[in-house]
Amino acid sequence: MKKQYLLLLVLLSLSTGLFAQTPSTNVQQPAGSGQEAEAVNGKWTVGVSAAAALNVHESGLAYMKNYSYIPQLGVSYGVDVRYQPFKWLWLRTGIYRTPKNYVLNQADTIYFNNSPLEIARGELARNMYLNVPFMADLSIGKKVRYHLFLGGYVGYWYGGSRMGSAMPLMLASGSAIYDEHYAFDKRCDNRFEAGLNYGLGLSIPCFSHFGIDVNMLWYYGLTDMQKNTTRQHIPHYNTTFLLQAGITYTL
Amino acid sequence: MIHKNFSSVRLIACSLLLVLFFVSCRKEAMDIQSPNNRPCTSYLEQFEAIWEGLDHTYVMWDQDTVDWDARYEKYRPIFASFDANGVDSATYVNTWKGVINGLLDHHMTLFLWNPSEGHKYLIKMAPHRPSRVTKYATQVEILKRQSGISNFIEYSDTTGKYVSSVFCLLPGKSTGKHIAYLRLSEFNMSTLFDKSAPADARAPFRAFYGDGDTAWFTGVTNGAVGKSDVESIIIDLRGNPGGSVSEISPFIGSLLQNMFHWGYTRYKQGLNRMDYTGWEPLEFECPSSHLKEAKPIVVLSDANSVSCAELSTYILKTIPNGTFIGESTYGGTCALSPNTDVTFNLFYTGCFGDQQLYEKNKPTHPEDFSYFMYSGTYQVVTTEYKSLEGVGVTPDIEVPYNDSELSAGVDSQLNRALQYLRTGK
Repeated sequence: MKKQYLLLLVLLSLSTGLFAQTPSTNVQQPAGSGQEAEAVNGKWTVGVSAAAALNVHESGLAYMKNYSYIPQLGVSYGVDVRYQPFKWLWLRTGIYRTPKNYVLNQADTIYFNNSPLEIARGELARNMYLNVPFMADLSIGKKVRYHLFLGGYVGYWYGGSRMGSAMPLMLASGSAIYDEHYAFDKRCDNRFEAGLNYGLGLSIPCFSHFGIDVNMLWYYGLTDMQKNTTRQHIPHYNTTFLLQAGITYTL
Repeated sequence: MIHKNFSSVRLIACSLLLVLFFVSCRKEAMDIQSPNNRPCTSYLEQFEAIWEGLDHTYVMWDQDTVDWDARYEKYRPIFASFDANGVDSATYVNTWKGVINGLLDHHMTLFLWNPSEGHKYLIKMAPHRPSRVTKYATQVEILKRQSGISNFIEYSDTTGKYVSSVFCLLPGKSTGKHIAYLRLSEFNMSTLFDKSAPADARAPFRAFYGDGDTAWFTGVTNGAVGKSDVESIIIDLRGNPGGSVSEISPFIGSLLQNMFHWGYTRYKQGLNRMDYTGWEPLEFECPSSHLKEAKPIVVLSDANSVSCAELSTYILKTIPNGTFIGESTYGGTCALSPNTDVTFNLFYTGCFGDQQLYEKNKPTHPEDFSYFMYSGTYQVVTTEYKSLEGVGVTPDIEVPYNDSELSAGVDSQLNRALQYLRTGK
């Protein structure tokens, strides 16, 4: 908490002069003045994109020493819409289908009747989200523009499944493999997620109104995937890294 | 221009600081101690260790209705007062009964060590099972008279090391036809094949299934159950408290003709209450030496049939040629492993604590407030995902235990099984 208060103090002091120094908008310079108009009259752009999404699931494992979480790749895709009030600023939103998968892995060697027994099992958890980002896109450059994204997002969990192996019930079963749909459990699962959204990118205009952009984005979850079911609840968070490429069309 | 650039830089800097501010909003996981072999030096520490241990490892949280957090709020101050003011043994035991009262797991038994007394306590809150030990011997005597001595083989264990069992042939539908009968006192048949086990300990088992391999049981070989004159089978699991789950597969699987899917199981995977593995299908693959021809099977069970005996009863009831006659079983269907020195780091669920306190009468550290929680590791449910915990298996044909009839030399449950197999009704 002390860290947060310190950051808040720095943030407030930095921001005190901010609005006083923001240049006025929509100022049209006389023709031939040699200065660019600050406003660009609100350009709209739409885009479609796909991304490789690497999800890192973070949660405490306490004394479960032979367990670990392993990040998993998936494919994300979606559409977005952008509004450009200034040459250097876009406001973006959109909707993306984003997988947030991970593996919970168990690996160990235990000794049973003085003989070593290798344990190697795990579970692939697949979670499908619809992510809606809200970002400020700060950019510089002329033909090729470089972007810094800052904002937040809201996510909606709409489905999932799990596939894995368990320790078989004392050899009384034929197999210990499962591959099943995961049903949302309102006692312990949170349907919605929210967090920060930031990244870097570059965009290149092509012919006519089209353009290409390539971005690196991070979705940093701030809300727990699970509800608090016990006084010693361990939270579960997702951080998803996307390498995204897309096509844009400026209206 | 300079003002515009500086403003942009401040905007970016503010935004980055805002990001850093929110990044620190994630809650950190609490530092949680393992409940296995956790040292406790007071009544309060013992309570907190057991409460937290069950909070993270109890396999029935998705079904149990006990408000476990309310139990913490209610009982924590009481155990703190024990440390401050002392406590007599009756109050100590009754308080613990209140802590675990109502929890669904019918295997659950809490072993407690009070170092100030040097005494071990057992707390079990699941319903008591009816005491019928002498009456089971009466059932065996009745059986002996019905089958005739030449068709009757019994091994009655007096050492406590081996399984008591009974085999006999009972008259079938018509002359020359028989019903093969096998009764087991518990699921610990592997002890029968120890080198130290007397040969006659295996005799009923061998008569039923056959000689086969001299090592652990491998299926139906040249025993009665596979012979052409044996037209049907009775498996008697009355009074059987269960035992090794791994014995269900050869015991029952060898009587089946095809792979059979009989249920699902799962265990805790994670420290939050609803963290489970997926459902593992429970299936029998018949050993190569299985019974080739399907024969009608009746399983006899009662309120003292628990754990493996209940699961076996459920399986035999569910197969197409099986029928369950008797009373509803006890309702303790979780599988568990008390060998926590090995298995706690495998499952992180089920039993936990000082294994020596469970196995012997003294803990590893007698100066500590030691404990051992004996509780289920695996949940087991039917193919419809229905739990039998606390419910038991209900019979196809209900015949309640009748004490006065048994005293008069009549085993009505056995008689009903014989009527069913001889007449089909």
